[in-house]
Amino acid sequence: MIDIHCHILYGVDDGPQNETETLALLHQAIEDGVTDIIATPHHRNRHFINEKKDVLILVDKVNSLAQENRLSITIHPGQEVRIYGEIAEDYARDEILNLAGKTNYVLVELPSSQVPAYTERVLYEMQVAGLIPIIAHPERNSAIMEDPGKLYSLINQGALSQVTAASIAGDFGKKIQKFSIELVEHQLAHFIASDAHDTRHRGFAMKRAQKAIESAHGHDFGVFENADRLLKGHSLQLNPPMEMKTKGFWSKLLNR
Amino acid sequence: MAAKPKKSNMDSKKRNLIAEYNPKSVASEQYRTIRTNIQFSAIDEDIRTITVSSSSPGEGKSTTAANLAIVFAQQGKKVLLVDADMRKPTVHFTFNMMNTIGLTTVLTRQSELDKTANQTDIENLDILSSGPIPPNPSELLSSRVMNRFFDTAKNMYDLIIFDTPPVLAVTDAQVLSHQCDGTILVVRAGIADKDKVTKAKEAIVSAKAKILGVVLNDKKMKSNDEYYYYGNN
Repeated sequence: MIDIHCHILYGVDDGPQNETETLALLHQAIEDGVTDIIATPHHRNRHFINEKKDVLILVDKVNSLAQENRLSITIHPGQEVRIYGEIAEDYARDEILNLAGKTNYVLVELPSSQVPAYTERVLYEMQVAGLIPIIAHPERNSAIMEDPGKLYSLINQGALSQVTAASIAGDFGKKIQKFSIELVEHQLAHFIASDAHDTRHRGFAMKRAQKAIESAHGHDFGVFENADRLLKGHSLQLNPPMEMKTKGFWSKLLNR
Repeated sequence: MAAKPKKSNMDSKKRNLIAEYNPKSVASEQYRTIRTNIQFSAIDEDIRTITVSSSSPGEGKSTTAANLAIVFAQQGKKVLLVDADMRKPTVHFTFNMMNTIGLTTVLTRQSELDKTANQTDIENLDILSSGPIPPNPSELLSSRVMNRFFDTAKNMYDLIIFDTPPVLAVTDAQVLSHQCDGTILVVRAGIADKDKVTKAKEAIVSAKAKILGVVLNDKKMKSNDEYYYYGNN
């Protein structure tokens, strides 16, 4: 299984702080069936700046760490870029990393409580520059939860999205679980990834997520295969997004 | 990690492109009938550019546009299918291709048409997906670069078919139909609202565009209507 969103590098963000913690996460990843991790440290989210050149160095270090410990898992470079006005320009300036360091995909994080007005413009400019934005964990954005139409229009305009395995598995509660599965059903989410930070509270839940979605539908909508295709550089299997019904007064009242 | 194959997706794609995957079906025959009607609708001029639209969403524009493009290509014409529905682009899904470049990048001169249009497995048929969607799509379609696009495309293709958004939703379809030789209005039986269809027709006529005809889609057939077809699909 391929994990396209994971805070596996140590000492760079709110993920592991040292080699020991990274090793523990790597062990957990392997147990969860993960063979490849795209390391996506936070970039430009007010607290952390992790430019391309720094990420590349640390990815090499963690790969050697894995080899020294005879772990059969490969780390690829990446970033989780907080949305800002100049992503496309900074990509051209070689500060922004695409996923795995070789694809056209860039993982973009929105603020947790809103979809800024400039989002469409920024995602459009990224696409004009030949990049495909993948919106990280839309299921945890409160403005999108309130109005899924906001995500629909971004997907309609060519962005993709990634929901977090733990959300699908139900670790953040029933409401987020239900919403995440609905996003996948409506072709509004195209990947499932761990977004793992530590082994205790925000670990891997890939197998449990797969179980949850398969038990609900009998198949997984290709969300795991898409990650595999992304890493191999193959084109993804995508379908047109479907609009989600905004909740009416009564269902809001009943589903609180 | 063997996920179960997504059979339903592939099937629906094949169903959408019925003129290619099941050319002997009643539906494919109907598409060929529409093709002939279009060819006979113009007496002294060739129809080289066609807009396919509808009054409201979900009436079958994209399916009709794709299948018409296929039956024209099967006839040996060099055809370009253009996704000009920048409100809900779907052509790249139907033909399973990436949408990183397309109409918008050609119009904004970031790519050339001959390097942007995708060849398909279907002989003579090329596809131009929408490309990244700008925040102001209508402006692109009415701009002068669109005229240039028409000139270039007509030099390369015998026929250009535009898939557009619904007429009543935005002005895009009106703008395009004005620039095209003819417009086809897709009407879905049992779904389309009579007043809305009339309004859509008026909008197209007021854009000084020529309506070639209306395609009535999804009409339930009585079983004896098709008794002389050998097979029901």
